Amino acid sequence: MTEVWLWLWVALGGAGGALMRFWLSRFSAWRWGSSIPATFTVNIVGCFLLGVGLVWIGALGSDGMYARSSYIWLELGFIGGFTTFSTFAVETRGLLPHDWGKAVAYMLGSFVGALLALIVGYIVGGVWVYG
Amino acid sequence: MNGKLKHLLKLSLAVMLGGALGALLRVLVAVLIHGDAGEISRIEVKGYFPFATLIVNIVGSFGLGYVVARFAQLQLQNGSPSETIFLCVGTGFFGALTTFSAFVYEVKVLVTSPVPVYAEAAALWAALALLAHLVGGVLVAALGYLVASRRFVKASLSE
Repeated sequence: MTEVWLWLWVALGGAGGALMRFWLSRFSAWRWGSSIPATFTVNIVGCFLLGVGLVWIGALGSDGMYARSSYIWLELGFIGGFTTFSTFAVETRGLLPHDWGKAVAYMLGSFVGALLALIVGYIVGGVWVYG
Repeated sequence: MNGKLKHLLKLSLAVMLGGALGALLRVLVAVLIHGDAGEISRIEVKGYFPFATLIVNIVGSFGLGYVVARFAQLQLQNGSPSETIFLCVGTGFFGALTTFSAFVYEVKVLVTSPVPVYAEAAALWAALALLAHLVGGVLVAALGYLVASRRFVKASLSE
Protein backbone atom coordinates (compact mmCIF):
# COMPACT_ATOMS: atom_id res chain seq x y z
CA MET A 1 0.00 0.00 0.00
CA THR A 2 2.38 2.65 -1.15
CA GLU A 3 -0.21 4.81 -2.89
CA VAL A 4 -1.44 7.64 -0.72
CA TRP A 5 -4.97 7.55 -2.04
CA LEU A 6 -5.45 3.97 -0.83
CA TRP A 7 -4.93 5.22 2.72
CA LEU A 8 -7.54 7.89 2.04
CA TRP A 9 -9.99 5.07 1.18
CA VAL A 10 -9.23 3.40 4.51
CA ALA A 11 -9.84 6.65 6.42
CA LEU A 12 -13.09 7.41 4.58
CA GLY A 13 -14.41 3.89 5.01
CA GLY A 14 -13.41 3.84 8.68
CA ALA A 15 -15.10 7.19 9.34
CA GLY A 16 -18.32 6.03 7.64
CA GLY A 17 -18.37 2.69 9.42
CA ALA A 18 -17.73 4.25 12.83
CA LEU A 19 -20.46 6.82 12.22
CA MET A 20 -23.09 4.16 11.35
CA ARG A 21 -22.09 2.20 14.45
CA PHE A 22 -22.32 5.32 16.63
CA TRP A 23 -25.83 6.16 15.41
CA LEU A 24 -27.06 2.60 15.95
CA SER A 25 -25.52 2.52 19.41
CA ARG A 26 -27.18 5.85 20.31
CA PHE A 27 -30.53 4.53 19.11
CA SER A 28 -30.05 1.30 21.05
CA ALA A 29 -29.11 3.14 24.25
CA TRP A 30 -32.18 5.37 23.90
CA ARG A 31 -34.57 2.54 23.00
CA TRP A 32 -33.32 -0.30 25.23
CA GLY A 33 -31.06 1.47 27.69
CA SER A 34 -27.97 -0.46 26.55
CA SER A 35 -25.54 -0.45 23.65
CA ILE A 36 -25.36 -4.26 23.57
CA PRO A 37 -28.21 -4.80 21.04
CA ALA A 38 -26.47 -2.39 18.65
CA THR A 39 -22.99 -3.90 19.03
CA PHE A 40 -24.39 -7.41 18.59
CA THR A 41 -26.26 -6.36 15.44
CA VAL A 42 -23.36 -4.36 14.03
CA ASN A 43 -20.90 -7.25 14.38
CA ILE A 44 -23.29 -9.73 12.78
CA VAL A 45 -24.41 -7.46 9.95
CA GLY A 46 -20.76 -6.49 9.33
CA CYS A 47 -19.76 -10.13 8.92
CA PHE A 48 -22.68 -10.73 6.55
CA LEU A 49 -21.56 -7.74 4.45
CA LEU A 50 -17.97 -9.03 4.55
CA GLY A 51 -19.12 -12.33 3.05
CA VAL A 52 -21.17 -10.65 0.31
CA GLY A 53 -18.35 -8.19 -0.38
CA LEU A 54 -15.66 -10.87 -0.67
CA VAL A 55 -17.67 -12.71 -3.32
CA TRP A 56 -18.42 -9.47 -5.16
CA ILE A 57 -14.80 -8.32 -5.09
CA GLY A 58 -13.56 -11.80 -5.96
CA ALA A 59 -15.67 -11.61 -9.12
CA LEU A 60 -14.03 -8.30 -10.06
CA GLY A 61 -10.69 -10.07 -10.44
CA SER A 62 -8.03 -9.99 -7.77
CA ASP A 63 -5.35 -7.83 -9.38
CA GLY A 64 -7.46 -5.05 -10.88
CA MET A 65 -7.19 -1.62 -9.32
CA TYR A 66 -10.97 -1.41 -9.03
CA ALA A 67 -11.12 -4.66 -7.09
CA ARG A 68 -8.20 -3.60 -4.92
CA SER A 69 -9.63 -0.21 -3.97
CA SER A 70 -13.08 -1.75 -3.40
CA TYR A 71 -11.52 -4.24 -1.04
CA ILE A 72 -9.71 -1.48 0.80
CA TRP A 73 -12.58 0.93 1.33
CA LEU A 74 -15.28 -1.68 1.91
CA GLU A 75 -13.59 -4.54 3.79
CA LEU A 76 -10.71 -2.79 5.55
CA GLY A 77 -12.24 0.67 5.92
CA PHE A 78 -16.01 0.52 6.22
CA ILE A 79 -16.68 -2.96 7.62
CA GLY A 80 -13.53 -2.84 9.77
CA GLY A 81 -14.65 0.46 11.29
CA PHE A 82 -18.29 -0.63 11.51
CA THR A 83 -17.66 -3.82 13.47
CA THR A 84 -15.90 -3.50 16.78
CA PHE A 85 -14.10 -5.81 19.13
CA SER A 86 -13.26 -3.36 21.90
CA THR A 87 -16.87 -2.41 22.62
CA PHE A 88 -17.78 -6.09 22.61
CA ALA A 89 -14.99 -6.85 25.12
CA VAL A 90 -15.89 -3.94 27.40
CA GLU A 91 -19.60 -4.86 27.34
CA THR A 92 -18.80 -8.49 28.16
CA ARG A 93 -16.63 -7.33 31.05
CA GLY A 94 -19.53 -5.20 32.26
CA LEU A 95 -21.90 -8.18 32.22
CA LEU A 96 -19.54 -10.60 33.99
CA PRO A 97 -19.91 -9.50 37.64
CA HIS A 98 -23.73 -9.31 37.47
CA ASP A 99 -24.59 -12.21 35.26
CA TRP A 100 -21.79 -14.40 33.97
CA GLY A 101 -24.25 -16.64 32.12
CA LYS A 102 -25.39 -13.68 30.08
CA ALA A 103 -21.76 -12.65 29.48
CA VAL A 104 -20.84 -16.08 28.14
CA ALA A 105 -24.02 -16.18 26.02
CA TYR A 106 -23.22 -12.74 24.58
CA MET A 107 -19.64 -13.77 23.84
CA LEU A 108 -20.46 -17.08 22.15
CA GLY A 109 -23.61 -15.70 20.51
CA SER A 110 -21.63 -12.90 18.88
CA PHE A 111 -18.96 -15.22 17.54
CA VAL A 112 -21.23 -18.02 16.35
CA GLY A 113 -23.77 -15.54 14.95
CA ALA A 114 -21.07 -13.63 13.09
CA LEU A 115 -19.57 -16.82 11.69
CA LEU A 116 -22.98 -17.96 10.43
CA ALA A 117 -23.64 -14.48 9.02
CA LEU A 118 -20.32 -14.63 7.14
CA ILE A 119 -21.29 -17.97 5.58
CA VAL A 120 -24.79 -16.73 4.72
CA GLY A 121 -23.08 -13.68 3.20
CA TYR A 122 -20.98 -15.93 0.95
CA ILE A 123 -24.14 -17.74 -0.19
CA VAL A 124 -26.17 -14.56 -0.76
CA GLY A 125 -23.18 -12.97 -2.53
CA GLY A 126 -22.83 -16.02 -4.76
CA VAL A 127 -26.49 -15.91 -5.75
CA TRP A 128 -26.31 -12.14 -6.30
CA VAL A 129 -23.09 -12.08 -8.33
CA TYR A 130 -23.28 -15.35 -10.24
CA GLY A 131 -27.08 -15.76 -10.38
CA MET B 1 -30.36 24.31 12.79
CA ASN B 2 -31.61 23.54 16.29
CA GLY B 3 -29.30 22.87 19.20
CA LYS B 4 -29.94 19.15 19.52
CA LEU B 5 -29.17 18.50 15.89
CA LYS B 6 -26.07 20.67 16.07
CA HIS B 7 -24.90 18.67 19.09
CA LEU B 8 -25.43 15.36 17.29
CA LEU B 9 -23.56 16.70 14.27
CA LYS B 10 -20.61 17.69 16.44
CA LEU B 11 -20.52 14.28 18.11
CA SER B 12 -20.83 12.58 14.71
CA LEU B 13 -17.84 14.50 13.36
CA ALA B 14 -15.84 13.54 16.45
CA VAL B 15 -16.69 9.84 15.93
CA MET B 16 -15.76 10.09 12.23
CA LEU B 17 -12.40 11.66 13.00
CA GLY B 18 -11.57 9.01 15.60
CA GLY B 19 -12.91 6.27 13.31
CA ALA B 20 -10.73 7.39 10.40
CA LEU B 21 -7.60 7.42 12.58
CA GLY B 22 -8.44 4.07 14.20
CA ALA B 23 -8.99 2.38 10.83
CA LEU B 24 -5.73 3.85 9.49
CA LEU B 25 -3.75 2.56 12.46
CA ARG B 26 -5.36 -0.90 12.16
CA VAL B 27 -4.36 -1.19 8.50
CA LEU B 28 -0.92 0.25 9.24
CA VAL B 29 -0.31 -2.45 11.87
CA ALA B 30 -1.36 -5.11 9.33
CA VAL B 31 0.97 -3.68 6.71
CA LEU B 32 3.89 -3.48 9.15
CA ILE B 33 3.41 -7.03 10.44
CA HIS B 34 2.22 -8.91 7.37
CA GLY B 35 3.31 -6.76 4.45
CA ASP B 36 0.65 -5.59 2.03
CA ALA B 37 -2.81 -5.39 3.60
CA GLY B 38 -4.56 -4.49 0.37
CA GLU B 39 -4.71 -8.04 -0.87
CA ILE B 40 -7.77 -10.20 -1.16
CA SER B 41 -7.89 -13.21 1.13
CA ARG B 42 -4.42 -12.38 2.29
CA ILE B 43 -4.06 -15.18 4.83
CA GLU B 44 -4.73 -17.79 2.18
CA VAL B 45 -2.17 -16.25 -0.13
CA LYS B 46 0.68 -15.52 2.23
CA GLY B 47 0.21 -18.04 4.99
CA TYR B 48 0.62 -16.69 8.48
CA PHE B 49 -1.01 -16.65 11.85
CA PRO B 50 -3.16 -13.48 11.96
CA PHE B 51 -1.26 -11.57 14.63
CA ALA B 52 -2.10 -8.08 13.41
CA THR B 53 -5.82 -8.39 14.16
CA LEU B 54 -5.10 -9.95 17.55
CA ILE B 55 -2.75 -7.09 18.45
CA VAL B 56 -5.13 -4.27 17.50
CA ASN B 57 -8.05 -6.00 19.23
CA ILE B 58 -6.13 -6.57 22.46
CA VAL B 59 -4.64 -3.07 22.53
CA GLY B 60 -8.00 -1.52 21.61
CA SER B 61 -9.91 -3.45 24.28
CA PHE B 62 -7.47 -2.27 26.93
CA GLY B 63 -7.73 1.28 25.63
CA LEU B 64 -11.51 1.33 25.55
CA GLY B 65 -11.75 -0.25 29.02
CA TYR B 66 -9.48 2.50 30.32
CA VAL B 67 -11.34 5.31 28.55
CA VAL B 68 -14.80 4.11 29.64
CA ALA B 69 -13.71 3.83 33.28
CA ARG B 70 -11.98 7.20 33.16
CA PHE B 71 -15.07 8.89 31.67
CA ALA B 72 -17.31 7.41 34.37
CA GLN B 73 -14.93 8.64 37.09
CA LEU B 74 -14.76 12.14 35.68
CA GLN B 75 -18.56 12.18 35.58
CA LEU B 76 -18.63 11.33 39.28
CA GLN B 77 -15.88 13.78 40.07
CA ASN B 78 -16.88 16.99 38.37
CA GLY B 79 -19.99 16.04 36.42
CA SER B 80 -19.00 17.35 33.01
CA PRO B 81 -16.26 15.54 31.13
CA SER B 82 -16.23 16.22 27.40
CA GLU B 83 -18.56 13.79 25.63
CA THR B 84 -17.05 14.86 22.32
CA ILE B 85 -13.55 13.74 23.32
CA PHE B 86 -14.87 10.53 24.89
CA LEU B 87 -16.75 9.59 21.70
CA CYS B 88 -13.83 10.55 19.46
CA VAL B 89 -11.34 8.41 21.39
CA GLY B 90 -13.65 5.63 22.65
CA THR B 91 -16.36 4.95 20.08
CA GLY B 92 -14.41 6.40 17.16
CA PHE B 93 -10.74 5.56 17.60
CA PHE B 94 -10.74 2.39 19.73
CA GLY B 95 -14.00 1.23 18.12
CA ALA B 96 -12.56 1.40 14.61
CA LEU B 97 -9.04 0.30 15.59
CA THR B 98 -10.55 -3.00 16.66
CA THR B 99 -12.53 -5.19 14.32
CA PHE B 100 -14.87 -8.11 14.75
CA SER B 101 -15.22 -8.98 11.07
CA ALA B 102 -11.53 -9.66 10.41
CA PHE B 103 -11.32 -11.71 13.62
CA VAL B 104 -14.23 -13.98 12.62
CA TYR B 105 -13.03 -14.18 9.01
CA GLU B 106 -9.50 -15.16 10.03
CA VAL B 107 -10.66 -17.84 12.45
CA LYS B 108 -12.81 -19.29 9.67
CA VAL B 109 -9.94 -19.18 7.17
CA LEU B 110 -7.58 -20.92 9.61
CA VAL B 111 -10.02 -23.86 9.61
CA THR B 112 -11.28 -23.93 6.03
CA SER B 113 -8.15 -22.99 4.07
CA PRO B 114 -5.24 -23.94 6.29
CA VAL B 115 -1.96 -22.57 5.03
CA PRO B 116 0.89 -25.11 4.78
CA VAL B 117 2.66 -23.86 7.90
CA TYR B 118 -0.37 -24.48 10.09
CA ALA B 119 -2.10 -27.20 8.09
CA GLU B 120 -1.25 -30.04 10.47
CA ALA B 121 -3.03 -28.48 13.40
CA ALA B 122 -5.45 -26.14 11.66
CA ALA B 123 -8.23 -26.57 14.22
CA LEU B 124 -5.80 -26.01 17.07
CA TRP B 125 -4.52 -22.74 15.62
CA ALA B 126 -8.07 -21.58 14.97
CA ALA B 127 -9.04 -22.44 18.55
CA LEU B 128 -5.98 -20.59 19.78
CA ALA B 129 -6.90 -17.46 17.81
CA LEU B 130 -10.48 -17.71 19.08
CA LEU B 131 -9.50 -18.13 22.74
CA ALA B 132 -6.80 -15.48 22.61
CA HIS B 133 -9.39 -13.01 21.33
CA LEU B 134 -12.34 -13.87 23.55
CA VAL B 135 -10.53 -14.50 26.83
CA GLY B 136 -7.68 -12.06 26.17
CA GLY B 137 -10.02 -9.28 25.05
CA VAL B 138 -12.21 -9.42 28.16
CA LEU B 139 -9.19 -9.72 30.44
CA VAL B 140 -7.43 -6.67 29.04
CA ALA B 141 -10.67 -4.68 29.03
CA ALA B 142 -10.92 -5.46 32.75
CA LEU B 143 -7.26 -4.53 33.15
CA GLY B 144 -7.89 -1.19 31.46
CA TYR B 145 -10.68 -0.55 33.96
CA LEU B 146 -8.43 -1.52 36.84
CA VAL B 147 -5.54 0.70 35.76
CA ALA B 148 -7.89 3.68 35.39
CA SER B 149 -9.46 2.96 38.77
CA ARG B 150 -6.12 2.70 40.58
CA ARG B 151 -5.07 6.00 39.12
CA PHE B 152 -8.35 7.54 40.25
CA VAL B 153 -8.09 6.19 43.81
CA LYS B 154 -4.49 7.38 44.11
CA ALA B 155 -5.42 10.83 42.87
CA SER B 156 -8.36 10.98 45.27
CA LEU B 157 -6.21 9.96 48.25
CA SER B 158 -3.56 12.56 47.55
CA GLU B 159 -6.10 15.34 47.24
